[in-house]
Amino acid sequence: MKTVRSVGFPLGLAWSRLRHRPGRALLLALGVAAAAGALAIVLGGSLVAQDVSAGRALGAVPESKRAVAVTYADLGLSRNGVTRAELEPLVVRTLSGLAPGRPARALQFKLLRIGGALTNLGGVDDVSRWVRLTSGRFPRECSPERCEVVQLGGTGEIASAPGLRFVKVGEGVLSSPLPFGLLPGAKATRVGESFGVSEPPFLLAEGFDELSALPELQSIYRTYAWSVPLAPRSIHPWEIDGFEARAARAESTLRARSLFLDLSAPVPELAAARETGQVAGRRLLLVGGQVAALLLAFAVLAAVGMRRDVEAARRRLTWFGGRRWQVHLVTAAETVAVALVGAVLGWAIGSLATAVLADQAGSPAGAVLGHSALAGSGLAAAAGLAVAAALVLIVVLSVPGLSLGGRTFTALDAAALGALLAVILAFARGDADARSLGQGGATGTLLLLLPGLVTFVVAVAAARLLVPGLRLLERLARGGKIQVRLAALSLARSPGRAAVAVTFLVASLGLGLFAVVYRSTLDDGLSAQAAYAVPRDFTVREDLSPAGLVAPLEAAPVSSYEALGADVTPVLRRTASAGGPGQLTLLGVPAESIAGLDGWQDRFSPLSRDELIDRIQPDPPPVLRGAPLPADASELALPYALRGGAVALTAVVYQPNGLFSRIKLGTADRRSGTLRATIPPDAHRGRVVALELGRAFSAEGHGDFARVDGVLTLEPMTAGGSAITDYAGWKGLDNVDANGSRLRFLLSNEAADPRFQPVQASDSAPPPVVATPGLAAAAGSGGIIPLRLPGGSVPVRVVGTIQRFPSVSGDFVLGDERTLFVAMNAASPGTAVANELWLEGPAGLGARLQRPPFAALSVSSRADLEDRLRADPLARGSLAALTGAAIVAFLLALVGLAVLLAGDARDERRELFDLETQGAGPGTLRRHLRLRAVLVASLGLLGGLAAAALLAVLAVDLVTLTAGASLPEPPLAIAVDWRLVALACAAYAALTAGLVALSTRRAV
Amino acid sequence: MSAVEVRDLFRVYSTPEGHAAALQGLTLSVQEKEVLVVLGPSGSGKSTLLRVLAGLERPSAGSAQVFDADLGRLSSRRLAEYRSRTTGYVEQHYSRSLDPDLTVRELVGVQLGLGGAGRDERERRADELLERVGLAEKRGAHSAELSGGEQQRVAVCAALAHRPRLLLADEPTGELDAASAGLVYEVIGELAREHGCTTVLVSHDVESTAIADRTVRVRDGRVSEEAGRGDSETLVVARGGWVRLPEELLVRARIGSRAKAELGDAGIVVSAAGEEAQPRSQDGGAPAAASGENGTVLAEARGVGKRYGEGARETVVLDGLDAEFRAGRLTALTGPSGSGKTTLLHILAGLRDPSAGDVSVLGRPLAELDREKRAALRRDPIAFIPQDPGLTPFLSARENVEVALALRDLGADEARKRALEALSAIGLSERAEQRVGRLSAGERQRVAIARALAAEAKLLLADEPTARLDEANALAVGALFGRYAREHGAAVVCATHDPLVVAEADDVLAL
Repeated sequence: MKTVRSVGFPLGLAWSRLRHRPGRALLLALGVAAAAGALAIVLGGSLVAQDVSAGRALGAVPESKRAVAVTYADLGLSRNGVTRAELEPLVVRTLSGLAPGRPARALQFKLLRIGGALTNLGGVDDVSRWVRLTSGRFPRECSPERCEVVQLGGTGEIASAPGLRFVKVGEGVLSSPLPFGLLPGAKATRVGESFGVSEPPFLLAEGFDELSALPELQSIYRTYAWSVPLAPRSIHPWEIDGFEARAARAESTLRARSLFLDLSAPVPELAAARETGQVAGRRLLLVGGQVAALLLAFAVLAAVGMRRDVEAARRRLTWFGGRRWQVHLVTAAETVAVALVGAVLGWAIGSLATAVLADQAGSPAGAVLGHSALAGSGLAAAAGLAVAAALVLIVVLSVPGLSLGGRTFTALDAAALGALLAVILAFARGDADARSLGQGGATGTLLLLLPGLVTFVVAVAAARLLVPGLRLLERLARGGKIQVRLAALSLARSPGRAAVAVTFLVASLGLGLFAVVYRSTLDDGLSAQAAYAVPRDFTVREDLSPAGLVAPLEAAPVSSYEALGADVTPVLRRTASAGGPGQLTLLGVPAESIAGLDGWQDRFSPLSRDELIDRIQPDPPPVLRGAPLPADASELALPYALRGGAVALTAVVYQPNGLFSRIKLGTADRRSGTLRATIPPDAHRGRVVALELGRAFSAEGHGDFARVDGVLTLEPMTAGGSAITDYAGWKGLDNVDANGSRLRFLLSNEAADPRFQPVQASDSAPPPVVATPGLAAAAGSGGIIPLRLPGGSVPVRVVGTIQRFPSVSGDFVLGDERTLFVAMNAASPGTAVANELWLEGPAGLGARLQRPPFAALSVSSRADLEDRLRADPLARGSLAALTGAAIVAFLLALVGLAVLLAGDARDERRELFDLETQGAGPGTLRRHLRLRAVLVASLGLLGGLAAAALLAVLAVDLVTLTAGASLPEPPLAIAVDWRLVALACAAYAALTAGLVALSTRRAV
Repeated sequence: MSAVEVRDLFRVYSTPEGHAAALQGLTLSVQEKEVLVVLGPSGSGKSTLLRVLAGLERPSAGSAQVFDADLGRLSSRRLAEYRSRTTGYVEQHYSRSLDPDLTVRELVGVQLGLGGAGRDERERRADELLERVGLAEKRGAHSAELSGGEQQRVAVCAALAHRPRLLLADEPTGELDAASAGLVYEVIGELAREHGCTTVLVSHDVESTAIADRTVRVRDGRVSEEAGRGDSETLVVARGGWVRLPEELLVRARIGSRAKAELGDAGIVVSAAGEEAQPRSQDGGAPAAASGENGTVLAEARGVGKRYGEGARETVVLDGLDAEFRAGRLTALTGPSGSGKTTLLHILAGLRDPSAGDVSVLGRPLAELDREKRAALRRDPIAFIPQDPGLTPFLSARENVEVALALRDLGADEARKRALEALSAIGLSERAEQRVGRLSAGERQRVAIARALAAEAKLLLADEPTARLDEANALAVGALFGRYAREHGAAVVCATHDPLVVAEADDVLAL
């Protein structure tokens, strides 16, 4: 009993001390509470951001596919012994386990021929739910005698047959693609219409069961679909794993019943959202961890201020005969109580704040808390924080010689050394990169701790360098003012508190400035990403959807874009290969326009931008040579003489609008004659850049080994009666051997593109390009790479290397657009046209590009893209967390400084008294204290800047992930917002000066 | 039976600048239930002796046995047990020994509680003791609500609550006025005897001997003299025949640095040997004063009083003090701890305002000067040697003095010249370029003295300047102060417990 009491007494003593003066531990408890609160908010906030992000990812899935659906096909009869009706209960039950709500049922027959007319026929329960009427009414019944239908598209007769009478009661469009998302009908109709193909009518009947049961349609193949829509926010991040597993189980269950049952769900999209969210969550944890570490450091600072009191208590207990363990027990009990109360309080407040945040973001607050702060792992984190705080505080309060600056090797030194070794090992093993962050696990954890570790090492190093630095300062100040010398002397003489303060300031300012740099890097990264993807204000290209399929120059000539006020950069983009299995992008951009591209960054190439332009810019500007067509000529005539097989001739014309046209001159099948053709209006003022030779139509059908040869002698080509070329400087290609205007030709299957065309500049000098290092290394003699393109091969000459260029990813070659245009059209006339336009123009340009004739094009706006990137919840969360971290760090630095100042005059009373005895007046003492504070604050700021710089350099890999937690193109580059940094430093200096003035005015 | 047996006890402290011996072969016995008072000047080693007996420090050499427990050989655990059960410890600074967060009743029961006593037992015992010392009414109060004397009485109760066999009290009245101090001595004496407790009390204050069965004096880490109750003091002959002769006898016998001892009829006769003993300053052999102003009143106090605290906690340190400090004279301020010596020095230096009365320095009433002007006074005609001078350990002795002179706006060359002269005067010329951190505690104290001497001030105020000095150096400092006063026509006012300094003084002001 006595032993129990001797254990219990120190605990009671600790309780009495805390109860009587709770304010003494208040600062400390607040530090721990703030750390716990920050961590809880970050845990919960990260989940909220992931939830919003997952919601967006699901929302981005087309409505037709944003559903859990089961499809089944049969002939309306038993299939493998099972009927659709028998399967349906299982399907409904299975779907109910994946998503709430009754499934929508739809069926669609294969293309029917009824009474000789083709018909797409489908049926659905409650047509009015899925169709918006444009005329008539909704169908009500479907029986063999009268099956009412609504027509959704297509044209043609609505036929009937005995026992199958369709009555069209209205027309409409699908208001939701959901029931037919997995069925071909409606989409096929739309696609067909966009190509101008007349599709059979698509008819929709009311009643899934009724339509499927029509006797006349028995044995006709049909597909059934049961779909349950998923609302964008219906699946939360913490449910994705379960949803994925349930979907897999459901599919197995269905397949076990029938191999023809298929389940579809947006699992890949959700999994991708989960992965992205997890990476972002880890980064937010990193930021939160930093803030929590910072707040804990603040608690340590407060604890240092309490050391005197605790040491006095320990000394008293020793005098009173307390055993060592009893003395330690009192300190530990007080510390654990403070840490526990702080952690519980902070966690509770953090959880409350998370609930508010979740509510505002539209996430279920209870579930968010249940999967973050109040989850097992969350509570473990809180307990871990409390334990860590208690341990750190016990060490600070109990371990002698902990104050830095002396000659003793302290626990802090050991910890800093350990942290340094961990950092060095991480870099040596290559663990500290973005991939690790993405993968998570042990190395990812180390990566997350990296900023904290580096800052800690720098802070301890700064404290260690403090005394020698101050002594040096004192020596330097010997010739100067005595106050500076005294301040340096006094700090160097008893550096304990100053060292702790400098350590804290280095840590807080370092992490704060790092947060600023990290934030500006992510922020700049978003702009850089947008500028990289859309190098000028807008990028216009062909819309590959069925409604599009129009090239920019087909939609309108360059002059039309310019008429909108746009500055137009024509771009030639092709997919090519260089002989290997991989593909590359051939990009042609007017060399002179590269200088004005916003997405360019100097790190993209070892060449400067000017050097790059200089190397690819042609001199003189190349021109696609050809025979000019007068503006007023309406007819193109080509006199010829032929010996041998008939040959069809086509003139390839490069039109003023930048496009090519082919004028079929006809077939030369007589010994002599003149081929004539009308010049289309667009070709006026154009240039004939090639005469293509082809087999005459009559030669078709001779089989795979058709072979036609002969000699074709051409007279000067005329347009409107005037000769436009005498063929001087023309040459034959692909089995065409030209001697002046006498062409010996051989037309066969192997001759891909027999033609007669002017010699082009690129024939003798391959276009200069810069290439990615891998391609450049693969270049042959003279840096030549033969690029294989659809329609021909174009040799290019590599004149430099480049890693990246706006709008391109992967391997690529970049050349001058005009030069490549000439070279490509020389290799295959009429095949190379600018297929992308980069526009820069006045406000409102985007809106104008939405109108005809541009409406059919795909228009990417850089501003819209940047807005979208910035609106991403994960990006916003990251930026907000970093902003918060920076603000907290700076505020803590100031509070830490205030704590230092409050204790400084008290701790230095003896020294101040000594100075006073030596004749220092109040003014001198005030200046002395101010100088001390300013020295500490300045050293803290310098150390903080150094720590931030070191962190920015060391953690460069860490920040390669974008704010949205994906690997960006281009990779992020450290960006320092110097104005913000300068502003922060100035604010810190001003507030420090105010604090110092205030505290010293009252202290002396 | 001996309760305490200390034999050839050494206690050496390791400091960054080297080793310092606080006890140098001290030998002492204390009988069971005896009340022993240990007197000695600051730095003589008496507190260290007490800390060794309390089990707070280990002997460096020699032995210390308390109730047959050899403190040097006890394991840490046994030593803690010893502290917990055998000893009660009363600290000089009562505010440090009493936890401000506990009530008086809780405070008294702390040691009992640490030993495993239950609440009832603790409270019963606390009430009993508090009743005994007249503080029963204040059992629920916190220490901050008590006066200094009351706090120290509580501390005594707390030290005795667990009925220790050995009570150790370190300057228990060091921060109390005379009346409170008397009460505390009374309480210690009575309670110790009631409890049959062996008591060792160390003090500067001769009033403490009133409760003593025996008194010993400690000097330079050894016991030098001893006296039983009502007996005259006898010299202690340490092992090997070491005897410390009282300074007064040496002076009278004109014994300087050498003496010869011969067996006489009644015992051993000690007389001067070799060179003649240097005449003492009071013998009139001092060099002539450099200034014709000697005798002029440089500082004076009229009706000066000083009180600290308010209400129950009010302490009167000085009351209606009249004093004059004249040029060319060394004045020793004496008195027990808490008698106001340091306070008077601070008032003379303009560091504190008196609660009553007037003080003038060089004819200037300090009350008329603001803080800046008083600081200017300290930069010019006043020099102050604080008890705990703030020297910079990594600067040399010369640099330390130069920094102080720079504060007095002296040019670098002049400061260097004066620093070297002052260090030479104090016997540190060969250590002038040594870092202060590498100097012994005594040498550092001498650097602080040199710092004041270099100022060549008219009013030199010194607060216990010989506290860390051995006897020889204390003697030299006393002589130096006297010489300085005469050569510079300065008034030197020195607060001290050290009889060697007192012996050098022209005037003694007992507080």
